[in-house]
Amino acid sequence: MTAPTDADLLASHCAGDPDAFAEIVRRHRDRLWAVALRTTGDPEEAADAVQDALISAYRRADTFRGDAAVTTWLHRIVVNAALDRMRRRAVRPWTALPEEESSSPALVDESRLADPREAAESAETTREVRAALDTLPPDQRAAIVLVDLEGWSVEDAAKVLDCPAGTVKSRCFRGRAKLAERLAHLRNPDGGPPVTPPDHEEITKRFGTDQGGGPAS
Amino acid sequence: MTDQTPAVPDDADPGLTGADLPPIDPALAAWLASDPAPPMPAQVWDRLEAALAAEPPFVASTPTAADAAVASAPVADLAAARTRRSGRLWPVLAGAAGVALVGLVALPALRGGDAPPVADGPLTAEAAIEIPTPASVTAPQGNEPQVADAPATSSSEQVATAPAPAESSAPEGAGPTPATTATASPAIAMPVAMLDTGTTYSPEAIPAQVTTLLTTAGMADSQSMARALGGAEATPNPSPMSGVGMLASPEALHNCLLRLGIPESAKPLIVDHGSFEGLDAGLVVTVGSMRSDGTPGDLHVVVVGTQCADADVAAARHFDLPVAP
Repeated sequence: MTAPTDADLLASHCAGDPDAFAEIVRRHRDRLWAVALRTTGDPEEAADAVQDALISAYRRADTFRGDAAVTTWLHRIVVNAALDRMRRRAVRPWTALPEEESSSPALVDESRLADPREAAESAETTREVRAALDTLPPDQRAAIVLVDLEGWSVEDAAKVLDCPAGTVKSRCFRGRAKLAERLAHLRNPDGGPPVTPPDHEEITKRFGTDQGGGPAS
Repeated sequence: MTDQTPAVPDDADPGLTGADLPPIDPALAAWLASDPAPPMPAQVWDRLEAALAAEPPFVASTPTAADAAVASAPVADLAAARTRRSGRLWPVLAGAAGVALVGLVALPALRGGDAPPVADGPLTAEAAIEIPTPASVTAPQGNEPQVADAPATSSSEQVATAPAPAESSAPEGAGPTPATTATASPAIAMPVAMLDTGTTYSPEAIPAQVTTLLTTAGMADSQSMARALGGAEATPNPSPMSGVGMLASPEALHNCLLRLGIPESAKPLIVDHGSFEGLDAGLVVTVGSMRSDGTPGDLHVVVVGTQCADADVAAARHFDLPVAP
């Protein structure tokens, strides 16, 4: 007997099956967690975002119409909850301080790295990458997390983020440019020429001109 | 934060964005890959599983079902609410229940004044709100808020609450069909109080300005906020909203709150029409967290352009304000 699909489980949940929704969550919890954690950069915020989002999804399961995958729908709700927490955090400057950042649990199990020097370098790179991600506006960060870290297609990421695919491309492109600039020293540890991020002209050429879409970050 | 990236809007016109996203720079991909996300920690899963298990069985969000789904939510005693309102000198927009919508009261006065009087105390978003007593608050000159009281209704018209969605954007076609009254749209979350003060909000004054709003709306301390949220009072038939954009209708406000990512757990207290940084704006006060004693621990405040367009949502300012115990 084949396992029920996510859509089957969601239908069962709507029909009153008390265990169906938890089974959906159990299937996808790691991916949902990864997106929340990377979007917020804070395990506690991520845990709260995931819980808020999934409780909301549980209660509003009948709003799912089946025109996207159940996982897309769940990711959308989780990402939005994470973004909301990011936006709130934007008014708490201390959350970006390195001291707090270093106090959060490491995402890399450094004990599994054989070479201590490699481990140290990897940890430093991880710290630098997290710090660079932290500097991105929430919307750009979410796009980078979905497309470049979690491997979503632009189209599917657009469904999760509830915006046009072009907007996802734009956010990824700009986010990558900022990350490349801020992590350039990792590429050029010996002082070589820095990575040059795409300039305004290139961004405009690729992704359009200022149409008043959103505020400059 | 220093940002050397050219100031290009984050969201380019989708109609002009036919270009493919180029492959990610391999070096950047490698750096990002150096920071893999771990699986969900066991304690997070345990907490989540317990929270899901504690949820009541799912009930579809049709009006009838919604009533059943929130049968345990407190339902206001309208007679008591009317009695209380009629005895107040202070214009109080009271009411509410549980997590979401209950009453909508139009409050079209207090327009044209400057910011409400600023209470003493630290003007930082992190400062605990010291709620003044009503007697210590001075309303803007000649601009006392007025209450557009709801018409008397029978107890059968009492509105139960329905959960508000947590995500910024509901799935396509999600949600119940909008209606113009609370009784016809039980899933539309509305605040305890709808105000139209015309306040000129500013980031540094937000704590004091919100304090004044809360006091004006009869929520002068954490206990009275808890009572309002707990459904001690309710105004089930909202007066027509007369603003623009997000303030034009309960549905518009509801949609804007969704787009702002107001989570389901954030109980809406107040929405006010004013201005912020020179723009026509709506201010939304929700409960960010609750203490174990059932009173608000902190408030989450969002100021957003009243049109609540994409740019407004993106530029919205969010503040967390701890509430004095």
